[in-house]
Amino acid sequence: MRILVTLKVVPDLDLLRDKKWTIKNNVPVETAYVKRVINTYDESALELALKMADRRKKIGLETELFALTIGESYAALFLKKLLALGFNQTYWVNSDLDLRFNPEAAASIITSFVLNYGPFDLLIMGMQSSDGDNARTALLTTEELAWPCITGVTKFYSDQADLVAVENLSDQGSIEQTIRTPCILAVGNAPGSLLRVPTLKAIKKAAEKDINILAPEELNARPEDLLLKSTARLQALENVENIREGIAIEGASAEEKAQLLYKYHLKGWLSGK
Amino acid sequence: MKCTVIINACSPAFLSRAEEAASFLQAHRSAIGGSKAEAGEAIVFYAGDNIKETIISSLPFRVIHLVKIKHYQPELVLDILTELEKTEPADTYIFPGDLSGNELAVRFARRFKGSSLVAVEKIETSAGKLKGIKKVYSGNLRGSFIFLAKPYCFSLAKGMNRLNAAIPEEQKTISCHDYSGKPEHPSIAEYRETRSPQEDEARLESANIVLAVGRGAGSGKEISRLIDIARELGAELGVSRPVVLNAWAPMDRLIGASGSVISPEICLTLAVSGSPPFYYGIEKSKKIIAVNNDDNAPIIKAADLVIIEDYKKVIKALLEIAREENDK
Repeated sequence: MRILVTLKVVPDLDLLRDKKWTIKNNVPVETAYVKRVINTYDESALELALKMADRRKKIGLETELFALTIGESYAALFLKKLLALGFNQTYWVNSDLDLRFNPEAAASIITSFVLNYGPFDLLIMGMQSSDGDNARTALLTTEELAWPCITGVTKFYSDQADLVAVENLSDQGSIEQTIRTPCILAVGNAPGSLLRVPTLKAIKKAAEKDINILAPEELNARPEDLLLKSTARLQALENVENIREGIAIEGASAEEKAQLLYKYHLKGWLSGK
Repeated sequence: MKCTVIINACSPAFLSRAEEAASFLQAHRSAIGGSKAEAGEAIVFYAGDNIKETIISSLPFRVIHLVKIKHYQPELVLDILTELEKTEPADTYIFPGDLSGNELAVRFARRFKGSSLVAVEKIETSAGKLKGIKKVYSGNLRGSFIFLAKPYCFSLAKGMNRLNAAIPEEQKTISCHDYSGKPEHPSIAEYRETRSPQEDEARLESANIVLAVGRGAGSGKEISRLIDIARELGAELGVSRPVVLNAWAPMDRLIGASGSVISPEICLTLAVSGSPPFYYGIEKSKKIIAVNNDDNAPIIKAADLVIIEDYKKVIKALLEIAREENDK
């Protein structure tokens, strides 16, 4: 079974939570200097793919894992890590185009990759990334490829050819379904999906492996066409104002602070029974 | 301008989502640009006749198209919606801010060569163009986007205001479509809804006091202890995403952009760092009180009141005080 996982390398926005951002040309200046991480939903997608490969290996089934990322040069470091974790091939589409608010373009590149470098049985994606907050790339890719899609995925495995058992959360509750491949799984809040850490030995071994680097043109994705794909164009960015005051409750001990909190703010609200 | 709202009545929370959509419509009627009669049609997917009367009597829309299905399977629903709308699509489609709304908004727009946005807070018109405004960069910034192609399809942000205005049934126009016999989508080999959940989620969304606990709690055992304490204090317990990813608490208790958006009188956060997606889930609370021993945690600047302390000591003291008060 051939599985493709897409990932996006993003600035760690948790580090900027209490900052007032400077915006220039509709791009926040600060994020360029912030350390990079794998987008959290994509991290879950990668870990669930590894878990699935582990399970298949135990019952003697082969799995080939592929990873694809688009964008900045930081990506290479993360792709090396994935090689160390057991991914067979990693691909970096080297593009300096700003696709943060152009999920249509991202979906078009991913679709072209799937069609040109496939066949793949499964395409696993995160549901949303933290910088664009678009939550559209996986859904647009599903329409481009005309593959079925399951969103909110929390767990999946495949012990039989052409079929994947999937658990996901929906508005109706938890759903267990078996879906025919090829299909797209958009991973949501999946318990137990923090990405594992490679061993030192695996890291050294992966250092010798190459990352496949592609130019967008190799996927028939001309920059001028990609920019035209957006259907909702960003016009302006502004800061979100924080109206809370952050007044500290002072006291000599935790007990004293708790007394003050209770007396002035919680009395009448807590039941104590 | 024709505007249609799409509702998934297979979701237990459908009425709240419909009231949010109706309130949004009312607040943005001039931007959507329709008369009362034109704006505010709803297409409602439902399964099971027992819910039909509730939909007709409770939904705050004047024109309701009821679509009966076997169960809410997105591929199937999308195909039905495409079929229903292909001859005379609306100019604007509004979807609720739930999982099905987000998915349908994007995929339906793509099928009709329109434009889509997810989690829109408001819309405006400027120079004849419709703009959607929504949070980006994990809630740190707000972006305005111009919709470039009709139909304009968007889902709403979570936790929007609700319109609770009953419309008499005799003023409603109802049409019925039965797709319950339509075969399962060919990609699905087996489909089973295993848990009709969200009891915790529903309790969280209606609670007056919520204890919100973060990764700093450290273990599933501690979360279980805090659930008991919350119960004793008459509060509900919600958690941040890392707690769920560590499998210390079930998904129903998740607060944040991808979980519940709560609006209690008081939200007491314990060992929560205050990452933007989490804060999104509590920012509608009337009062936010943060207890954290790290005075550099982002939540400290985003709360009304803060206590810099080990939360375990504070919660122990609060529990003792509440018990004493209760015994009086």
